[in-house]
Amino acid sequence: MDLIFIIGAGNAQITSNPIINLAIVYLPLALLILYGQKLQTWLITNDLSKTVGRLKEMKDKSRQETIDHITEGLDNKEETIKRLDSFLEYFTIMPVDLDPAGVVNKLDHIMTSRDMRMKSEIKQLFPDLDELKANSVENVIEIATSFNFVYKIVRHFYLVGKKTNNFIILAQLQMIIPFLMLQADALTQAMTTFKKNQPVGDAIGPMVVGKLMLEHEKHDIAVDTVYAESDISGRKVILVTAKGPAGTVGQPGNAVQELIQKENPSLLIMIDAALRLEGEKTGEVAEGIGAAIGGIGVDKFKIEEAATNNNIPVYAIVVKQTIVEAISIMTKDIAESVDSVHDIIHRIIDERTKPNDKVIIVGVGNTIGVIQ
Amino acid sequence: MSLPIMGAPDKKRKKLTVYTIEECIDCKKPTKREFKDGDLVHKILAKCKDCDNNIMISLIYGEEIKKN
Repeated sequence: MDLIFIIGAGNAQITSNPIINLAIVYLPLALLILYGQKLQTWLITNDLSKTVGRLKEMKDKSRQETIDHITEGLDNKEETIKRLDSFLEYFTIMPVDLDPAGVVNKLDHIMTSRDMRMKSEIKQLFPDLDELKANSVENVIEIATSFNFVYKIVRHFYLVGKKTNNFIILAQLQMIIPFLMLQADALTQAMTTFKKNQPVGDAIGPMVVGKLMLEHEKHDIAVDTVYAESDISGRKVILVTAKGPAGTVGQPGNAVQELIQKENPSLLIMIDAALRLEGEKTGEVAEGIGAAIGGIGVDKFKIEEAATNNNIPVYAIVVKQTIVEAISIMTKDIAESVDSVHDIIHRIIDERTKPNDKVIIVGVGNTIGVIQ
Repeated sequence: MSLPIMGAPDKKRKKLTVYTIEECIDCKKPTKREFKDGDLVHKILAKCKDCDNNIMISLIYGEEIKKN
């Protein structure tokens, strides 16, 4: 058969036979115009179905790992598993923000109540556990709950998109799936780390401040939060961090508020882990201005308000890392940044304060696996 | 066959081995070993054989095993 390619203005022909041309060029073109979106929807649905399946596997595995961790050495496993399944469905209703004045206090109240309830229920369920193991159980349950939540949200949008044959919903879900899978991956790795009480990347703040606290007397200042007094270059330094080695972030907001009232410092330095951008190096240390603290915003609000009302400059030192590194075992690059951060703290204190001044240094982050 | 049209996460996951670094608080002599349950950063372990000061866990971190 003679194949002749004639490409003219608006006239694409593959052979000289018009019937074959119609079958090869125009028919598929017409089909793609009419059914192209349906084909794309089918491809996306297929892709999402695999991802939802993978998420389900990961979620079931995290539930099983949680069960194994908390029922270790227990007789009444059935009852514990039943309670765990109800923990996985726990939810928190955020306060109404139609009138935003005072919403932070409401948020603080809700989050504190949530934490207290979780702690007391775990204490009730496992009365013989020591503090370290009880915290580990709490952290592991929180990871399994997050997994359950991510899976349910993804499944919801997948099923709604599929049910209504809605290309837009499915395409939007597919666009954010890579980021959700990254988070799911991070949660899987976090499970192992929290079970073994190993320090995570986010523990860099408590590690830096914890090292400065060694051999100084520690005092409780807020829930799961301690402070110690020390001396750097002739300045009185008040060191604040969450109370390790259990996995907690403490309440640095309440602690800093109280210490600012009591001590009237001339400088506040905050050390935290910060999410790095792609292309930046893990473990890179950066300096800046402002309250270096993540979370829901309650602690940040309290620190900013106390610092502003008392005209105290807030200096931030952050150690860069990814979300996966922040909640899984601390990497070598992050761990070895401790000395660089100490050097920066000394330099800031020397340059920005005078002898006999008071400085508050806050190590922000989850203090799992770190003693002060 | 379905294609990951909008991109997919990097599937290459690094396998990390967890190490504990012990260090004498005075002579700063470091020792590296694999992590054991119960290891915690800043935990005092024993006395240093060289200077009789405390040996403390200074770091715990995960490191990728490099293939030769």
